[in-house]
Amino acid sequence: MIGTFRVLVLMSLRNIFSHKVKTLIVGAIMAFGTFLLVLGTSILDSIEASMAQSIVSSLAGHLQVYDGRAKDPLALFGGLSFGSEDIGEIPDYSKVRAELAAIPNVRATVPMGLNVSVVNATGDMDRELELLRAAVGRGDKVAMAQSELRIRHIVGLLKAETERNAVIGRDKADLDEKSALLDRALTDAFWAQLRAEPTLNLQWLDTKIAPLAPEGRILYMRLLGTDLPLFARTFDRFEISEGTMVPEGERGILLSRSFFEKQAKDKAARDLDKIHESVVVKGRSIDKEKALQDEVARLKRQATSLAGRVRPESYAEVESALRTRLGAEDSVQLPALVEQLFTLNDANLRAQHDLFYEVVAPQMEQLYAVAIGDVLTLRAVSKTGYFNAVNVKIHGIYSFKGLEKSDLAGAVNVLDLITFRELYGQFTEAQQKEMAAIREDVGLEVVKKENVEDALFGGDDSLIVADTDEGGFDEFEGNTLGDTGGDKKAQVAFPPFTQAQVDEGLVLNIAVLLDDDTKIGETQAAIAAMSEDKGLNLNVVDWRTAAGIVGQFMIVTRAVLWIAIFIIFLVALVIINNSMVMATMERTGEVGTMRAIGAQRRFVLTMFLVETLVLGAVAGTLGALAGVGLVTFLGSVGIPAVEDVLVLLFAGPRLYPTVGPSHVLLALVVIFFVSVVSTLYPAWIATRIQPVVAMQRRD
Amino acid sequence: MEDSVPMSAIVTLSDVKKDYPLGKLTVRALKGIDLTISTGEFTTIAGPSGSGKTTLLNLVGCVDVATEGVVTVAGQETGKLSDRELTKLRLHKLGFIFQSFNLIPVLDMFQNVEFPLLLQGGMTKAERHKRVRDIVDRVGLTDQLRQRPNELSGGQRQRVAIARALVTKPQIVLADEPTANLDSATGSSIIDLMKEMNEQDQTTFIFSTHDPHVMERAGRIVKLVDGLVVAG
Repeated sequence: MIGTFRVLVLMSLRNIFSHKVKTLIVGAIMAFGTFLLVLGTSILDSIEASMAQSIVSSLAGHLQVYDGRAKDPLALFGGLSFGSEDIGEIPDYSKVRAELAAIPNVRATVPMGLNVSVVNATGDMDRELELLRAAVGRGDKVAMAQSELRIRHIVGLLKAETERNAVIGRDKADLDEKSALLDRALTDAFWAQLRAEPTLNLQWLDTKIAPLAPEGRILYMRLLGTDLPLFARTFDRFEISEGTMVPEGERGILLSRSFFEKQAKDKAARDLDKIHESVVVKGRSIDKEKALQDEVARLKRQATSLAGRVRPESYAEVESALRTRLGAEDSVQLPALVEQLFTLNDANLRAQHDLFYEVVAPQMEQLYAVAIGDVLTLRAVSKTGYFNAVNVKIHGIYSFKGLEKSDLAGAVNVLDLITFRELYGQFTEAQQKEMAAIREDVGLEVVKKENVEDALFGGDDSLIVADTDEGGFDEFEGNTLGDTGGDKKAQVAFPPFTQAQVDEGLVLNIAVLLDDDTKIGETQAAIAAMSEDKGLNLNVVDWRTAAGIVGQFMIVTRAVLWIAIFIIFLVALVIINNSMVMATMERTGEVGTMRAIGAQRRFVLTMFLVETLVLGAVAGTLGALAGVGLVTFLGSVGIPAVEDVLVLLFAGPRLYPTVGPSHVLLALVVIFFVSVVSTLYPAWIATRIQPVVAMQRRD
Repeated sequence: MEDSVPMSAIVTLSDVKKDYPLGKLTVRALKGIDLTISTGEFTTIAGPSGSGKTTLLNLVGCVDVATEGVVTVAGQETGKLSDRELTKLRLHKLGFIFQSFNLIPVLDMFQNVEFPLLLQGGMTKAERHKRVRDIVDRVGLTDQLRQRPNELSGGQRQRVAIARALVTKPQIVLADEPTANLDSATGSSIIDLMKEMNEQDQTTFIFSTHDPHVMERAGRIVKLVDGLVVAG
């Protein structure tokens, strides 16, 4: 048997060498197929692993549980209707938590609620006027003098801009009017008047000058309300990179590092960062790419406004430093210097970027629109449709260890659940009592039929109130209900809360983390069964689904890869089959001789199969080696994420793929399968060759 | 070999007919052959082209079965055997020498000779190698053991084929025009070799030829004309 096998392998090898064209065609296809499989599956797995890591370990957990009555699917990273999805609500987290905790493999649950809010960052002029008003109020002469300096500086820049606009011939009458107002604010006489009669002149500044200054920026924030200490403990990559954690039982918000760097940062500085990253990290070229040249042009247009954001007291210093470093003449002003600084190409980018951060950025008024310790006013559309606002203090900036580069892992800013509920539009206990009293007053006791269940299970009166006639409800807003309605600032004091308040209240979704992440499907089924059993009416989805579009994208990418591989192998199958049939025909006499000498059909079949398998093994190994080599190479240099969507998929600006034995094994199994299947028909034909052909052979 | 002791019949054909389809027609290549060949005979089948020589050899060689009549080879009625059983019969009882040698091109000479032993199985490597060396020695090719068929001359190739046919110690060796592709001197030496094997091992040789010099050497000549035995 061993001898027979040895001769089979020997014959296969020699046949492979003697049929060079066939071997080259079939071998090349097999090698390419294996190469592609190793490359494709390992890169895809790497993408999925990095995505899984940044999604699972930063926000989603392995499973997400939310209300079964949801009208829209849960999309943690945003779905098609940005921020306005209706994912229902879970009235009492503690009840669901108790049931989830009883399910095997559940390690932890974290209560959550997602919302999108708008924050207005104060404009420079508004902020200075605020400071001046405060200084006037205190009678602080020094502070008043400082404010005067800064305001006159801003006005001076506005005036310069107006003059430039006049040159290019914009609406003349309007510009003249503005110019006159700005001129007045620049006179010493005006400021003397202001010191003498502050109220009237402050009002003049507020109404006439402030509207001419650029507005503060509007920031969009994705918010995650959660039990902050629990969140930090459970998602153990969580770390505070600046500031402090929100203490237990206190209200507060933690900004994500990526929000802070990408949203809150000065726009010009951020645009510069982006160009820098495109070239330095992604390996793109300003000199060669029109798109980057356009970005540079946009950056240059911001030079003047950026100069205006340099602190007045440092203005001259920055100006002279830039002049020296850029080798400009003494007459060149800061806006022009910044424009020169922003005139970027591949050669000067690194140096000018560093120069900006060395000289300009530290002297900027507000490199970041928000700072730790600030109280933000978050605004969001509440559940009942009106605009709601809450104030919350920024305690710190957080990031996830090892996932600092991932946009996914920094997609949300986290705040305490109590503040979240207020913003979401849920009433505080005191407000609920007040509401109940009002309801009693007006005899509003009818509970709608469909709300009976909520009332029983949720024990949450607010639902009933929310579902009652909106008109009747609105009548009490403003006078009786105080600060629950309308677009007005909520209380600035931050009353502490208890753990029970966090647990026994409303959440929108719950992250479930598992002990064994290979059993996601089973645990998902177990939770669904529990929900059915207890009548909790919950939706349970895995992290891929919960990730929304991002997760879908992954599934689609994988499907595309497999379809591509399927098509390639289908073509390979046909080509291999054809050339094997031809090879079989050529070897009719040889096969006939073997049969005549006494080889059984099985021997012939085996001979052909071994031949393709040997070829498959050799070509497959070469292809796999090439694949492993390329992936290893890519793993060391990284694949640049040249498109923004890739940054999301790669969980960073570069993907460092890894290849494992499973990828090679899978590729070899597939190639063996294809080899065998493509050889079955030609091998079968070979077994039909009659021994009598050996006698007819005349060559 | 009329002078030898009475021998048992190893091949018998009785009223054997063989039809071949030729397009829509049927051609009758053998029209009723009765023939007995005894163990140890050195028989040549002679006759003009198209007389049915090869067809007759095919039937005796168990690579084809008769349309009518009974063919018995080494005690087995071939018409009743399956493809598998016929193959087994060929492997163990028969040896083949082909007109164009039909060596396996990718195997060297040693491996070509060893091939049927590998198919048979049941032999240790040492036994197999000894058997191969002995037979190669006998055909006089010991120096060419590791050469591939395309590195050998026609005569050498036919010697390899003879070694391959004889290595399994078959009862019958069939040779279809073994000298047709060789010059007369080489052909003559091949016939000498076959004759030598026949005499030493009492192996039955049945071969077809239309070379008068070869016929002269045969112990028995069976003449075929038009699908019928006319002499022998």
